[in-house]
Amino acid sequence: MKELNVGPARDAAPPFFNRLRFYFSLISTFFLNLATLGVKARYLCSPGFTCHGCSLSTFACPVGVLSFSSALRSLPVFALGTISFIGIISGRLVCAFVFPFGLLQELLYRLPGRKKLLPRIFNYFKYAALLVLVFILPFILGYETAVRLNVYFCKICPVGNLTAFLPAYFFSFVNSLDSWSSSLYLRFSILILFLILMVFISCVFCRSVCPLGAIYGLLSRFSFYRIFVDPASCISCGLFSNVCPVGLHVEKEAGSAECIACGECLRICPHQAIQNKWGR
Amino acid sequence: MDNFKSQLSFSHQPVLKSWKAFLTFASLAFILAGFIFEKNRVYSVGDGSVTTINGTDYIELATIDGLVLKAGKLYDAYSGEASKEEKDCKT
Repeated sequence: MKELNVGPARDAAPPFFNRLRFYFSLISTFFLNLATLGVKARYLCSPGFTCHGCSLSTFACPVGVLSFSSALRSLPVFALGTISFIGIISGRLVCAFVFPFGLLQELLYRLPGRKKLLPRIFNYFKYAALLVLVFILPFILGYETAVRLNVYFCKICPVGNLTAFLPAYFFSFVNSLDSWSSSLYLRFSILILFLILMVFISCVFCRSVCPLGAIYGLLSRFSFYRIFVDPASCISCGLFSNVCPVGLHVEKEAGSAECIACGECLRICPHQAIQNKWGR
Repeated sequence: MDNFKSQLSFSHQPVLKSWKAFLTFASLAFILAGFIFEKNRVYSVGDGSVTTINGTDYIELATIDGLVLKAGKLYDAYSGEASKEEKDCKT
């Protein structure tokens, strides 16, 4: 795997957009977990990825709703409308600003270690996860069989395992390790694998697994929020090589379906050739 | 295909604006239609009778286990009598 050069960019003082993103992620983490304060709106899908199996969660998980609707062979019209609307308004900006697991991912990545860049082929895995584990297999097999065969996304979702299953299992249901079935080992193995990978690989969950990121990525082409390169200002200086946390060729791919709108390129460019804006 | 891509790459192009407008209205129409018309079948765990719940209730009340507790009555969202025996997902 290629090594990621994060030195100069990370050492520089974070500009407004990056600070805003960090604090917004903290605030959104708070607002997405208000259930203990009695604030619940679980009839609405969360804009970011949260598990509504988590007792703290304010909203419903959009991927969870899509998965069980596929398993039930019903069309979740309201949920699809909500997810599409959010995707069209903001694109993958949601991934950068409203994603508690992404915040954890970013904090873990700040731990010292040899940083690696995930090969680009893994970018396609999230589309496969969306199609196969959220839509196709639950639809074909039905809930019981899909869950039994561990081909149901929620069953292996690291977000759900960390925020919902892990606390529920240890605080309510755990009896002894003997009672752990193979699927429980699978759940925890996947969770631990991701927690380790997140220390060394930037945005590993967003790039390789997140079905919601896949949906927002597909919609980002049509979204009102855009990151784009101004060809008149770009001098192709090559400053961006190895800076993008998802390994994009920024001059060509800023604002593409794979761009998570993190704003790293916005802070690097000395000529303001990379721009972001809302609008038609 | 290349022509289509190049059209999409410039936001001021009318094609992209039309797509944005279309998708925005389509998603709003989905939200409205789902809010008013969406019905999902659920099965009473006790007697197996079938009833329907609307889209927002379905999102709010159905758990990953496939169970729905509405007005003190337990329903199975996935299937009928046969499936309620084995639910190993604790979330």
